[in-house]
Amino acid sequence: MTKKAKDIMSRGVVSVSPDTKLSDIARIMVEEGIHGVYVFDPTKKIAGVVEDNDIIKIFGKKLVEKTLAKEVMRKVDVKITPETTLDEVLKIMRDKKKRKLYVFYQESDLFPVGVISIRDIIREVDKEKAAIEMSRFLAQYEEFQEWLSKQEWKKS
Amino acid sequence: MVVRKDVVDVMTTGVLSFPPDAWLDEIARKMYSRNISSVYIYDPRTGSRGVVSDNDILKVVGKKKLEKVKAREVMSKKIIGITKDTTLEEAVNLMRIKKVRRLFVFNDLKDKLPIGVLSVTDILLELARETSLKEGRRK
Repeated sequence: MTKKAKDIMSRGVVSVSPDTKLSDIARIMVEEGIHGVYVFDPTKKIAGVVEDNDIIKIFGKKLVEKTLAKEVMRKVDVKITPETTLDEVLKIMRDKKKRKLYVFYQESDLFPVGVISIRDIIREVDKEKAAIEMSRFLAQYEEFQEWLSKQEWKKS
Repeated sequence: MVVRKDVVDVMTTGVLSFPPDAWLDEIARKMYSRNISSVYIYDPRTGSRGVVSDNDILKVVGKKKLEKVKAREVMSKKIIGITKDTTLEEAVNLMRIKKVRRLFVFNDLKDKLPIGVLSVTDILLELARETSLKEGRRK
């Protein structure tokens, strides 16, 4: 079975209003341990993203506490759905040099349901390894149980 | 102001390093558990060095088994280093020019092993700390 976006994505996104100061966004990123926030205004239908790199870009040029999200935010140019396969996700990330992809229920949606970041991919490796170790352990345990039952048989 | 600070005040001290023949799955697990995005590769015998970042791992995922690829095969030799008395402004400029997310901080640029790393996250942390200090003063 091939994995899909919905199997590895982190559900939910941190979103801010377009009028949020970059200094607040920097604090949110640090506190939440994330590298990007979604900028969204449901009434004006404004949607975009601010990533840590966008803050680095204005560093030393403008004051972060006087710059607003809407001034630096960028449009989401690649949308994927929960049904996109992992292979496709990897290909898009590699080809478009993206560290993060937003997952939408439909391409026409303005608000995402989740995110797949490079960290989620790295975590997947970790999970796979753990699963292999677990199955190895279970096999050994079964073997041991079998051995144990034979021992009891001998005693009686 | 943040810009005037030196790199040494903001950087993360210490660097996680692996030998060039470490397997990628091990490196990926360490990256995830330590919440970092790159490791330093250093061979004390030959002195060869490099960097393996999460992007380098992404290039291999799905194509080869990570436990069968060695750090040496994917590492980049391009190490962008700065000294600890560089100003933050210079460091960030270098990051922008070289399009990297981290710089390795050396005592002396001739050294083989860095004393710390300055990443995008370290800079955000400093910005966040500084603005919360200001707000505290205002109250």
